[in-house]
Amino acid sequence: MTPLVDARRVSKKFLLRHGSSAELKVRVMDRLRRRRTWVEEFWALRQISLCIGPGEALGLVGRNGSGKSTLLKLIAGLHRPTSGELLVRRGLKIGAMIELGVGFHGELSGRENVFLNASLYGLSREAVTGKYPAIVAYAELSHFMDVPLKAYSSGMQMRLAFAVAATLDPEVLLIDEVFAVGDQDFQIKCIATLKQFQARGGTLLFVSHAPSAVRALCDRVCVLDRGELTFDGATGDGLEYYERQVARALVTSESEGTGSHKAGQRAEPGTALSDDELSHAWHRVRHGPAWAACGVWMADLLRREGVQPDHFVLDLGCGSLGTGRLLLPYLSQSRYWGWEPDRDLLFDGIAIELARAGIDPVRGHFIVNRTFDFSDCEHPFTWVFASSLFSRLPLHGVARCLASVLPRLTPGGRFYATVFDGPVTEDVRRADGTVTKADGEPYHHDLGILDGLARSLGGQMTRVEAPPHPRGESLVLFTRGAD
Amino acid sequence: MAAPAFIDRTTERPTLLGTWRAVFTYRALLRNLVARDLKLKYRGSALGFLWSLINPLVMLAVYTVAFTVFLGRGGPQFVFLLLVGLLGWTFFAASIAGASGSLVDNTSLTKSLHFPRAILPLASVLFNLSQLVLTALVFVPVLMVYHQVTPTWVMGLFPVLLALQLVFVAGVALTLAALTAMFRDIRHLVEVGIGVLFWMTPIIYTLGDLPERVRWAIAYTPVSPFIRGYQAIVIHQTVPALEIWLASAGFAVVAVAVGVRVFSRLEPRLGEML
Repeated sequence: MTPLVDARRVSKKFLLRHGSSAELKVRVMDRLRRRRTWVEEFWALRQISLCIGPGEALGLVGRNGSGKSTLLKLIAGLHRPTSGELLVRRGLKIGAMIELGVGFHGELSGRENVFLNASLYGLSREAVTGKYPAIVAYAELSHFMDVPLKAYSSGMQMRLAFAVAATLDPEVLLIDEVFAVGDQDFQIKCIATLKQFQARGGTLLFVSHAPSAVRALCDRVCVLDRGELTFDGATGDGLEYYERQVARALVTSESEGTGSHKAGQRAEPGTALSDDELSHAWHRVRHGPAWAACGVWMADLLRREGVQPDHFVLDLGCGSLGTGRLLLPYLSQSRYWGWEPDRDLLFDGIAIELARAGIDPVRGHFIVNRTFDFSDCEHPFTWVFASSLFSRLPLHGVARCLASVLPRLTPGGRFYATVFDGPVTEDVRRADGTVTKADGEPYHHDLGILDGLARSLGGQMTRVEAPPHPRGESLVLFTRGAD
Repeated sequence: MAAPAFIDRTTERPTLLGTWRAVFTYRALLRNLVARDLKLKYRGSALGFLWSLINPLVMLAVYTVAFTVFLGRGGPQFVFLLLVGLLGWTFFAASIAGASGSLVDNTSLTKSLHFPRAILPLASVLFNLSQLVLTALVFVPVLMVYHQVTPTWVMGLFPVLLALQLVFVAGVALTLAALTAMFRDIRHLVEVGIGVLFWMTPIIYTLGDLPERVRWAIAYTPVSPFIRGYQAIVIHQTVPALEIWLASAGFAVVAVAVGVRVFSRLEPRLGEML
């Protein structure tokens, strides 16, 4: 059957202008001063391919910011895709309920608002006049139609708005979270209406956070995650996938936003990267040229020291999984824990590096937060390692890390960390030309102070001789001390 | 060649014909927006529609006092000339000011619904056209009686010239609405521009009052031919000179050509600019 909507590798990029403005003066002055406004690219959708056939009821689920609404808006023609093809059958009657009650005005009566609102959907005056009694009956507001809308409760306004939208009778209905408002009865009524719409052969594209509504209406579910289509299949499986994703979600994240990244380009996951592209990918560049070597170095160290597959291992600052990708296949299920403050870095590690190595991320656990909160893990760790993490942390960050991690070591457990050794007073130029700082990234730390920190927390620190580190960092070992 | 069965949203470009067909399909919206603005303007105020008459009345009074009493200028028909000029001018100025903000002030509509965006500036133009017609219907007969002007068949040219001005204003409105979405400054620029243009239009003076060397320049500022035409038709009951018709038609054609082009160009990007 020919589809109604056929998306082929559709991507949508938004430009977030930082420090730019729609004011002409500002733009001209910026141009004159040669000040570059920093434009961040935000990929709301990446390489989405999906087909929607006539009569389908497709549920779109995903966390906030996953691109669900953007996809609806592209199909509705409100935004234009950046790349790919988004084929929509010519002449298809699309009804978009992206927001209800658009154009409602409090000073106008219910009746006047119905006519205005309906004409925004393109209905002619005669058409609305014909449908008007049905709209009023559906909204159950016949006594209020001559009253200004400002006298309505928000629930009443919602009912009226939905009543108008429900009588549009398009071929495809795009619905974006419109049941968020309204009481239980109203929601049941909405779902009943949508079912009738389906029974008449209508096609439904339904964005919702409410699994019950999706289950009731949809026979197919697509899960979006950060702009990517990660699941497309039967409703039961899709919701289960989504719930698993949310609950365990690879991530228990503090709501700190997505973190900002200025340098480098994030690779578009889903595209196969060549080795050269990979070495220039944002998640590797962020770490530096020694990305792969550092990972190997740390993995070798741990194997030498005797990590066993059933040991619990915590990878602190696991980043884009330079070490994780080597340890995950070796360790048993659920023994690898990765903690990372930069969510984007970890996501690219999972999406690109693990995918490339053919490793199922579900083998491990991943935690994203900035507070060293490991409360999700009930086991103590035999091994903890922090590869180059301390170069990203100021001293108080290191202190916080130690305070949180040391109590989670098993009695004989070991915490290895690589650290740039340097004085608290001045910057140090390293052999490869990088300059490490006492008060800025990349940080170096005075090993004596770190030892003092460890002692104050009941542990101790020793410096360990090891093969030369690819970035020239020293290796230190923290233990819980004499107990 | 059969039309392809699918539209690709990535490369979709609105055609001129398609856009205007869409505007026609959405004519109920245009009508409802104008009706909404009219209702909102008068609803809840004690004097209601009278306010639409009070405003020009006060303007008339102020200019008349300033020019005839303070400056001792203005002929016997000064008030009549002024009124006719102000009608045509206000239609232009209010439409342009309203249209410039029509897209940026209605983002709640444009963000969630896919209707032809040109409806919004056009609604502003039609609203002000309705104001012009209502005010003219009240004032013009009164002043014609007072000045003992007998209406002849020439009055039939009034709607013709008005239609030309409507096309002109619509063209400028489309241009400025789209540009304002891109640069919010355009709105302020429009305000300033309207203030300047007012004094460059023969409303509170006639071309005859001007020194020879600037007369031709003022005669062909954008709104000038329309105003001169209205004055000829309504006050002198004479057919406007050919140059007035040519200039009016020329301005109308250029404005609408530019407006339609600029708007069609920018429309696909409006979603992200607003």
